[in-house]
Amino acid sequence: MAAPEPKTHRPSGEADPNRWVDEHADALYRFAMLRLRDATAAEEAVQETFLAALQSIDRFAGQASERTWLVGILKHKIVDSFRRLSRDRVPIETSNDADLALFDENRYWIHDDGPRDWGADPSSILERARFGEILQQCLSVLPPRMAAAFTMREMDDLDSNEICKVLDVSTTNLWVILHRARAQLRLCLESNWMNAKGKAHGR
Amino acid sequence: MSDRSGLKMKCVYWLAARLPSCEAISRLISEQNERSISIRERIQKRLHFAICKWCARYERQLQLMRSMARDASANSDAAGSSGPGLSDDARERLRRAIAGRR
Repeated sequence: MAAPEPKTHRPSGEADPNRWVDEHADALYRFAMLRLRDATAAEEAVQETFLAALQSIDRFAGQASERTWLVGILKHKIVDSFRRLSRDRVPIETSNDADLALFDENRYWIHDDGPRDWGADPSSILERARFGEILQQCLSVLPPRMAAAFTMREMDDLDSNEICKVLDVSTTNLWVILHRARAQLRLCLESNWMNAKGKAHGR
Repeated sequence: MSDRSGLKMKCVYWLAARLPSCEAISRLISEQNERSISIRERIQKRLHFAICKWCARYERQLQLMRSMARDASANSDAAGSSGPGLSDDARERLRRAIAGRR
């Protein structure tokens, strides 16, 4: 009779593709979802990551943990996904600029519509998590390339030049895109964050 | 009393007329994250903030958004990041894709 298969004690520093899905898929998927905000695109990025990892498995010489190595590959796959947005000519702006008609004829804030006082910054873990959730929701309603620009710049602190190449835009163009992204996000956050705070206080 | 506040408003208008508009300052507030702004721009921004609480708020709120985005990014590297994981179907698809290439 066959002896039960001995527990494989893999030496540290050796990749084991049989266990990748169980050990890493969820974490990689969440990592991708945070940036792509699209389940299909995120799953695709995870799959591409595993396949690319298989191809370069010889180069994984245990210099880092398996997770770190896979996340490193995933980061590239996420950027590839953003690059595809530009190749497919997804328009950067689909939203109406009239949304941002916050300034009067002299280009000053229309006072009743100007930035409101948000009160104290979110400080407790719960509050910060809630703020993060709202930020994600607001990002998901931005035009995709605009959201991609914000994600690369603010989440992953990529260099402006690199983002310009990925999105195929000029530097000044990127500044405008980021300015609009921040303005729209701020507006969305303002109404939703104030709302969430109001509810938390039982009102 | 009303003389003093009248004088104050005169100063505010005098200064406002010589400074970039809120729209321009809000663009500058965003751009300072991408490029180093000049000393002139920095002073204009400070003076503008002195007479405009909205733009000062705008800068604080953009900074908060940035730091929260960085936070989310840093946490996503950690093992215990939250959010729903993959569906069973998706896991199966991944297993098949890996097996198919080995």
